[in-house]
Amino acid sequence: MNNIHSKKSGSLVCVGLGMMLGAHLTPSSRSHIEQADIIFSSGNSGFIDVWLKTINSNVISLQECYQQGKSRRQSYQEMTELLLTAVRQEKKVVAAFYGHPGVFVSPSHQAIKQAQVEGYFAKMEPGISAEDCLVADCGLDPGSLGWACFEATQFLRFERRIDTSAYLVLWQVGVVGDSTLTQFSTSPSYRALLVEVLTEHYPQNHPIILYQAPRLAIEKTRIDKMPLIDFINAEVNQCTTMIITPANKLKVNKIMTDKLQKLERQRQAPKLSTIT
Amino acid sequence: MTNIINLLETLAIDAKFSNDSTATLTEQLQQLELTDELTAEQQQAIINGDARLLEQLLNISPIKCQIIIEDVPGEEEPQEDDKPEKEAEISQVI
Ligand SMILES: C[S@@+](CC[C@H](N)C(=O)[O-])C[C@H]1O[C@@H](n2cnc3c(N)ncnc32)[C@H](O)[C@@H]1O
Repeated sequence: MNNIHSKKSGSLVCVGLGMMLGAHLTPSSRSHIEQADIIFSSGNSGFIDVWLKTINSNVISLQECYQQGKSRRQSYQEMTELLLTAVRQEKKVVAAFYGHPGVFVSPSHQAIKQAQVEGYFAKMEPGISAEDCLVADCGLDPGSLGWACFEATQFLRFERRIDTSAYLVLWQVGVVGDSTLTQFSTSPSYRALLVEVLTEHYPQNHPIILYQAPRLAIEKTRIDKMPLIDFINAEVNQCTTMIITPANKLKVNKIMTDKLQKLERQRQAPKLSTIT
Repeated sequence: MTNIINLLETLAIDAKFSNDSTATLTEQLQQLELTDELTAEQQQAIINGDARLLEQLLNISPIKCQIIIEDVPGEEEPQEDDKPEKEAEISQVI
C-alpha cells in the first residue's frame, strides 16, 4: 500500500508495453514513460529499446541481468535491486515490461512491494498481455467454459487439480522443466514429461493450440493446432503459450441446481403479506 | 533507424494497415513512401516479417530472454524476514 503522507520524492511505476510494439501502449503508461527520470526496460524484441528511446532517451535495458547458465532467480533479484537503487536515489523510475507488467513477472511485484515498504510511491499500470491477444486471435472466451492458467514447470512439479471441462492455458512451455532456471529453452525430453502429465487427463490425440502473438506489426500470428502428443517435437520458444481445449462436457451439480431452483420458487411464491 | 521504428509503429497503430485483407506489406511500404529510404535487404526482411534479420541489418542486439517469472515461486530457502509471506505464497500456489 502507498503511504499517502510519504515525503520521499523517489517513485516507481511499472508499466506494460503490450505485446506489439507501438500498438498496445496505454496513454497513461506513455505519459509515465515521457515524464520518468529513468526507464528500465524488459522488451520482447530488440526494437523495443530503440522505440522507447524515441519517447524518452533515458532507457536502460534489463537484459544485461540475464546470462545463459546464470540462475534467472538471481537475474530477477538484480533487476529488483536496480529499480530500487534508482528509487532510493530519489528518481522517478519507470519499469517497462512487455505485455502486462504484473502477469508472470516477478521483479515488478517484488520491487513495488519493497518500494512501498520503504515509504516510496509505487504502483503498477496494466498492459495488454499475451493472454489478451490469445483471446482475441483465437476467438476464445474465458467466460464460456472457464479457464485455468499455470506456469508450465510449476504445473509439472506440483500436483494440480485439472478441470478438463475448462480451457487449460500453460505459459512458458518453451522452458518447461527447467527447475534450475538457467536455460532459455528445454529439449523434447522435458516436453515429453509435460505430455506424460497431461495424458493422465487428456487423450494423446486431444487437440491443443500453440500460440504466439506477433511482437511487431510485420510478424504473423502463430496459431498451430495439433494433437497433444505432437507437442513433444513441436517448435517452441520462449514466447510460446499452449492452450488445451476442454475434453469433457460440463457436468451439472445436481444438489446446487436443486437448491437454486428452490430459492427461485421461494422468490416467485406470493409473500404472505400480499395475500389479503 | 528512426524511419524503421516509425514504420513499425505506423503499421501497428494505423487501422488502415492492420487489416490483413488490405494491401500486402510490399504495397504498404510503397504507400508510406519509404522504399527510397530503406535498403533492398531491409525491405525484404520487412516483407518477409523476419524480425531477427531486420535486427541484424540494423545492428540491434536481439533479446536474450523473455522470461521474467520464477517458474516455482517460493521454492528457495526463505529468508527469516519474508518467511510468513513466502509460506502464504506457497499455500496460494500449491
Ligand atoms: C514471463 S511470461 C511474460 C508474460 C507477459 N508479462 C504478458 O503479460 O504476457 C513469458 C511467457 O508469456 C507468454 N508469451 C510471451 N510472449 C508471447 C507471445 N508473443 N505470444 C504468446 N505468448 C507469449 C509465453 O507463455 C511466455 O513463456
